[in-house]
Amino acid sequence: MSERRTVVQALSTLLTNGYVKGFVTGNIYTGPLKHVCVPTLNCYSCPGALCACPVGAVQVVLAGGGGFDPTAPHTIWTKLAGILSGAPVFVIGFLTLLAAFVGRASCGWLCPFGWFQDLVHRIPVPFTKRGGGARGLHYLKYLILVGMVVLMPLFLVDSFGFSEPYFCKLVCPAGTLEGGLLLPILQPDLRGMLGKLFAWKVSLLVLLIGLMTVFRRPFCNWLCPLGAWFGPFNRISLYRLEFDKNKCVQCGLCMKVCPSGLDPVRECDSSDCVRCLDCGHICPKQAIAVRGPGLPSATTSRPADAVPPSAPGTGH
Amino acid sequence: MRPMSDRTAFRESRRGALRNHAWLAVAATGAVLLALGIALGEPAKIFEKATAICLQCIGIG
Repeated sequence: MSERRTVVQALSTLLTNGYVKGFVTGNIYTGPLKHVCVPTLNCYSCPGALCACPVGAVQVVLAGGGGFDPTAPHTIWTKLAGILSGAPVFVIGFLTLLAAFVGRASCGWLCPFGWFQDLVHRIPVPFTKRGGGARGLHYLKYLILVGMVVLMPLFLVDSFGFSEPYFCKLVCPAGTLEGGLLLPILQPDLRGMLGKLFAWKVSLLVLLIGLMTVFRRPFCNWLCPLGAWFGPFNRISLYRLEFDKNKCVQCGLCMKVCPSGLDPVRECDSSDCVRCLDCGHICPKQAIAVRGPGLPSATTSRPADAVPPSAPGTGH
Repeated sequence: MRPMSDRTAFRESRRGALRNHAWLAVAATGAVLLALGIALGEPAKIFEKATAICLQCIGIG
């Protein structure tokens, strides 16, 4: 499963960053595909990006000022249209529709930056921590979603009513990796513009890369606002993980491989689960599996009694 | 493991049934918002922003 997921992640990264000409000329793709978003964090200022990033798109729509003028006379319908015309309903609708079917699966299977984190974690270091680090840090991504992606672009506005994509500007390491490091190499004119912001963002990226070697997916677990949006839908999505307690032999293998540090036996529909399915793959009794239309339904079987195999490696 | 009482079993099954249908409400909401966004021309706004290099976004500007 892990190898198959790696192949899917690689294909997804190539597909969403397939504008080869951009990597040669340093110019970004400006074709019609940029009308739509990918369901992953993928900077649209990357020379190879073919579509827009949903987190960037939400911020620029909010930051661009809405069509609602509170001082003008309005009927209820024109007010509603005004508010909606300034809200990123297209992106939110797209992300919600996708999450209704598969929850946070695009984090585990499609996200280029998620794949990058998986690859970096394979670098051998003297010590690693199982799972996703301190649990309290997992709530940070919700604060980032509400604060930096929604409230700051809405309310920190200039005299013309425009704002900035604060998450992209101050945090997003995917933008630094995919665009910030590449574009100054490809476009020498940009090198003169590098300053404190660039130093901050590169430092943050370096820090995260260091953390990636120790923890699994620190950005997904702690900081990603897209994961924060998708996460709560894990509980109700059409295709979701289900645990069959009658099959479980309590070997703990699933807990050892979970990149989010979850105990899938107790919390297989947690908001932190990135739906990588490694737990289901490693389970010797298939006690954890994806359920949904077209897939085998959960069956109540006799309690498992076999001794589980020894734990295979968890990535190192 | 202690067997579930009838009431607990009923609650569990009702919760399961709600969860089984909640995705439909969420999907419908998503589809409506998506259609509304298209009708309001949001893809054009996204296109306009996504076709210019956002120097701030990548830490340059």
